[in-house]
Amino acid sequence: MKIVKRIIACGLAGLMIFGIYMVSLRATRVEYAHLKYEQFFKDKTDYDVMFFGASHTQNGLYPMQLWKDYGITSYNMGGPDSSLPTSYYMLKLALKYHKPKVAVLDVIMADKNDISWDYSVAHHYLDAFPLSETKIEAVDFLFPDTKKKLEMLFPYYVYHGGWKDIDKEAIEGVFKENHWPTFGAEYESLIQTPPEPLQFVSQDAGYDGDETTGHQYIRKFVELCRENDIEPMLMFFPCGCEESAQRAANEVYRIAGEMEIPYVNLIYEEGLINQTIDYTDGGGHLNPSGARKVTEWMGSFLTSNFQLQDHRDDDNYSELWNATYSNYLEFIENYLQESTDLMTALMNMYNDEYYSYIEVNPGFEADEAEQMLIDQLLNENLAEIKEADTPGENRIKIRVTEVESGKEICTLAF
Amino acid sequence: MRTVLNLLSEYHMSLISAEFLLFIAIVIAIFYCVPGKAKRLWIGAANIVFLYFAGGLYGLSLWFLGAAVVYLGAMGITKGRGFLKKLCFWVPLIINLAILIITRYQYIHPVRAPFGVSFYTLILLSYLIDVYWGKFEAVLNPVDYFSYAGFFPAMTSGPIIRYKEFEANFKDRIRPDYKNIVFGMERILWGFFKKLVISERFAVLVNTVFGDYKTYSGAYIIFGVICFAFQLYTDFSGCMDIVMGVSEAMGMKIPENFATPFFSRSESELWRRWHITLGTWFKDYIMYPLQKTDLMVNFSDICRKKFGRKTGKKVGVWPGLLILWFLIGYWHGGLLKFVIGSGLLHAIYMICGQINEPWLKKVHEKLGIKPENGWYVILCRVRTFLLLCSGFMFFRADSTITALRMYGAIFTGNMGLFSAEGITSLGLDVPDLVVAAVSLLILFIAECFMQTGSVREKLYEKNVFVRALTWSLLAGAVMIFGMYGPAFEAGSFIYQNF
Amino acid sequence: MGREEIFERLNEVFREYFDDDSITVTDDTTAADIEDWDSLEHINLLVAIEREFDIKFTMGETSEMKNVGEMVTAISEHLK
Repeated sequence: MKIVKRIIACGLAGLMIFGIYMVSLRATRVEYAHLKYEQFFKDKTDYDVMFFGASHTQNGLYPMQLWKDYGITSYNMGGPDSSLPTSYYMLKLALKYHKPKVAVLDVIMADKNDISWDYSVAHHYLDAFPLSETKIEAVDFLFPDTKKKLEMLFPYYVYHGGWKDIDKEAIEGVFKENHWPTFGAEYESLIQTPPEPLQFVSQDAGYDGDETTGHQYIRKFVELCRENDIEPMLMFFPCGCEESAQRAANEVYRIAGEMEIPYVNLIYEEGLINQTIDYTDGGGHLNPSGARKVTEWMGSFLTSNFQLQDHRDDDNYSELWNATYSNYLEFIENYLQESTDLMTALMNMYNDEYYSYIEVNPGFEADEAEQMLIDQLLNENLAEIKEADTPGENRIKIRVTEVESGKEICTLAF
Repeated sequence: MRTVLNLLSEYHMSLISAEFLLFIAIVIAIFYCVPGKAKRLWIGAANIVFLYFAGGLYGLSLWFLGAAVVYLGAMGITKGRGFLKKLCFWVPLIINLAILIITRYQYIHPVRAPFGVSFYTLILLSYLIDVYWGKFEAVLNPVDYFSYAGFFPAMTSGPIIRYKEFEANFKDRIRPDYKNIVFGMERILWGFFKKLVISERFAVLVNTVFGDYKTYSGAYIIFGVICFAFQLYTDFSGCMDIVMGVSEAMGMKIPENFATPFFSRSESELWRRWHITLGTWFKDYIMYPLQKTDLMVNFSDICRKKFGRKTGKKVGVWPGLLILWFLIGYWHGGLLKFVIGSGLLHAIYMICGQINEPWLKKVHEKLGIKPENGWYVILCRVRTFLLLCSGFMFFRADSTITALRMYGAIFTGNMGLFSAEGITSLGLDVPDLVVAAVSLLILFIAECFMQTGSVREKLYEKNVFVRALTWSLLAGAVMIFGMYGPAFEAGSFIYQNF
Repeated sequence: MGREEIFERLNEVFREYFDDDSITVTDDTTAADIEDWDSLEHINLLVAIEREFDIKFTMGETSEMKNVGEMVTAISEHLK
């Protein structure tokens, strides 16, 4: 009897402590990684493609669009501040859970020699991954400071201190779940024109044959792929980064040639993107308009160069992916509806799920960027435009409808 | 595996860490698995591992040197006689004192002090002196000796264990006992609570005030010193709780170092409740031998002749008292501020107490105040607490001069402390201040209960739900409100640097 | 000298030292039982006892003697 009581006491205590731990962890932690990788850990099927890289990758490639247009399953593993050594370890970690047919690496930061990773940003990736030998290895390598290592392996160590910020919202968040139906991508609904045209070096301007630590880890990434029967591919997003970064990216042509793998530097893909309207921040990250174009390009490139199947009729995949796609449409519709200005709205409308009726005020004059956005919609038959009969208070009114059903999604006025 | 070992070797083992918890979990688990004779061997091994991780090869080697000369010296004392006997006593004594004084009090070279030197030196010397005084014979079995000499729970900040006390644990076979283990773990948890939730918070307030007393003058200074009393107490006694808990979980009893000291009614009582083993060590090994010297005995006789028996008895003790407390203060750090704040000041208070006793007694009789009156008891306790704090001003301040200046700065009349902006300008915001106050209150209530017996015993009687809930809430409080992690620097114990 | 006699003389020492004729010590008497007998007085008391019986306690005995009974035993050892 005594023993039973003791076991109950200990068991009960264990449960309660675990409960307190889980609630306090959920209420204080940063959710980012858990949202980003939720599907990754839930999914039991493998992906055709996995994209690795930094925030440019995360913003610039939409797995859901690849699914819809090509039936390719993919996961966007890119995230902020990810150096090449980091991407290497992300692949290593990811392999424990999913093995893709193709792994695509953005060679951004190829000019960097340092390894260390901003730990606060690192939480946005690593928190979602359970403790494992690979994770310990990755953390040990990427973080020089012992305390940081502990912090990365046991995030509670960091998060518990946020108890002061627990409010009603946080408690609700413990029991309710948020979802990102984007398969890792980040849909950044912002638009900004570069103040000056971006400068690009010529395509043969390389790094004079030198290789940095970044380059070293590109090689290691490729080798790791090969060890695991994955086809590697290298790419570089069209972005106005520093000259040294561009040169280092161009150096990759040589490395890719040596290792016999495809490499495309999209800076030199003529007419792919429109500088004026495709960036969130005037030259770095792609917004939904730019991402759509690059994703389309990627889908075409992948299907032409790799043996990938169209899974749209495959029940193993279509159920989950189609269901997620509906959620995805709702997800991005929110951004459309919340567009704060005309340019943002026009950018968000650039999606072949929508058909929009644009009505402009008499005497409406669009600036350069607005005109470009309107033109791209008209050229691809995603909208029609007419002038209003009588002047109204708004410059422009837009009625967005769903292409398939004709149902109205929203009306916007600016 | 390699990476894990790599991580381990970079770490300086501190009591208040996950690594230490892991360490004791392993030590305790295996302790119960090995057969009786091997238990002390296992402890000895754990001691070496702990000293290595806590003090590095340097700390481990110096400890071993000190312990080994005492081990050999003691054998020489027991077996030898005459000059050899004296040699075997004085040489190890001088070597250990030299190591202590040179490394700790930094007079000769800026040499780093080996981990725990202030404490293990006293432990080793107690053994050496006890053998010299014939209390028991030298221990021949090195396992028996070294398991005592470096007993890892006591290496950080004590308690200062006597050999006989330690050996008594092994009289009977140690069996795994649910109560011991549970009580031990409760005590460890309580220690973590005191250190991480209370001590670290008060430390923030204290550091602000003592870091800039010119800005934080007036009432802030008094507040700072009082907070320091709480910080130091919860820090040191929290460490002791962890240490006692670990020993208890292994079925071993080691002497207490604290007995709710803030409930003391007088200075003399205080030193029977605060850092108890230090007091008893100095009493047994310094005060008694000192008082027994012919010089002191003669002086005592003279005093009795001059001042009459009653007064003479008291006066006769005073020089001994002053020397004793000088040394106690000195042990704390070899600096004047310690000599005063942790030493002479308290001797003076006790002397004053003795001087005042007769006429105060008359006053009490006249006014009808009985020593057991509730409010009188509270008054005595508050007074004793404030006297203790007055010494802490010296202990915590950078130097004696700074402490004196801080005393002066009290009189600037700065009442900023009592405003909302004031109290929140010390480094803790309102939520933290609330947690600090509430946790201190919990401590106070717990210690009130301790006045009438063991809280853990009382808890043991309750039903499973109450027990599980108590453990969970305490653990939860440490997990959530503990000031550990990158946002805070859960520093080492104050007394760990001794 | 028998235990009885030692006890008698010891009692005298106690009464004189603490200036209290009501004191009667037994085997179990400890410092807790006599108000003024604290660690500060302990040595002085022992010195007084040493003088009475013309013996010298060793340092080892000084802190070992837990009660009056043990004191008497120690005294009788020294008197042999």
